[in-house]
Amino acid sequence: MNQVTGFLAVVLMSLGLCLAIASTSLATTLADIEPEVMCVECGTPLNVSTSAVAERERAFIRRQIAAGKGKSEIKQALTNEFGPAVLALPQAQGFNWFAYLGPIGAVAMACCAVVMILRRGRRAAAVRREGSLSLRERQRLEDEIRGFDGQL
Amino acid sequence: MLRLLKITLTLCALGGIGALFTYGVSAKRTDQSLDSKLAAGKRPTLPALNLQPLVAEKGCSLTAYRGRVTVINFWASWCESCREELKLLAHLQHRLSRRGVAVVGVATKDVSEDAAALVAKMGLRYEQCHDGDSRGARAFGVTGLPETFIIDRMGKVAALKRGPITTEWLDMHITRLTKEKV
Repeated sequence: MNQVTGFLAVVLMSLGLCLAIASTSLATTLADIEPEVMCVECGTPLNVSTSAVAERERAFIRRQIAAGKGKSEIKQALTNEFGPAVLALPQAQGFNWFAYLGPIGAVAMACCAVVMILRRGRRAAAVRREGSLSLRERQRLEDEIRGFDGQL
Repeated sequence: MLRLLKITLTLCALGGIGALFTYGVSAKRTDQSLDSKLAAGKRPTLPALNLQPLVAEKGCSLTAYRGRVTVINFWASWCESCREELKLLAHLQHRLSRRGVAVVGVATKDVSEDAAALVAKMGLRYEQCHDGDSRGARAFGVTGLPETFIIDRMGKVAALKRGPITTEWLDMHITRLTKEKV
């Protein structure tokens, strides 16, 4: 009985320790958010900005973290305060979709162009190969043409 | 046929790049149309804006003061010059009110809590709007802070100051504008 109780105590302690570690690693930090947010005055990412407004933004983020808010909630709060321009990555809506789909489209077009160029190159190589007959093949071809002409 | 397709695709790609470039340049360019119109002796119409109120729960429309000379002051709590200017406006607010002049503060690019705390600390009693997303600042072509605009009774921009104002500058324009008939 004592062994079972001891085992359960160890399991519970391990579980508690795991939860504590998980909550620590999942907690939002200023460093998590800074690269994804812009300094609204200087137009640079917050993690490289030292302006007065950047300090105010950092203080705002710290207050939100202290209030127990998660990353997405903090980013939403920042958007409510400063508008969508505060986010380093544009929100996926309206014209902003172009920022995400544009490069994919450009890569797809480039791939199509590469495929077309490769196909054309292969076709040209095949034509070249057909044009360069060996002596034996050429002789055989001439014989066949001669025979064909004779039949006419 | 293939050649035509290639030319069309190339033109489309070049057009797209050109359109993106134009959009990027125009989106970043500061609107200086108010300055040029004022310099040409014209009075441009006040941009119609509905901003969020900074402290109260009512709306904050800049065009609601038509019929009164209005001073619109763009500021931020993190801006040292703005704090100095707010002291001046706090000092002048009663005098301006007695002359029938409305003053509207617009806290821009600022955390609303910080701006509201400064308003309370300085005892500013005139209306304060919050322009967090800088829509108002863009409409007025605000490039730095503080910036002040004086609106005449017809709702047109009569004067602007890009930088800190002085009592003399305010008096000069307000005396002239309050004498004008509607």
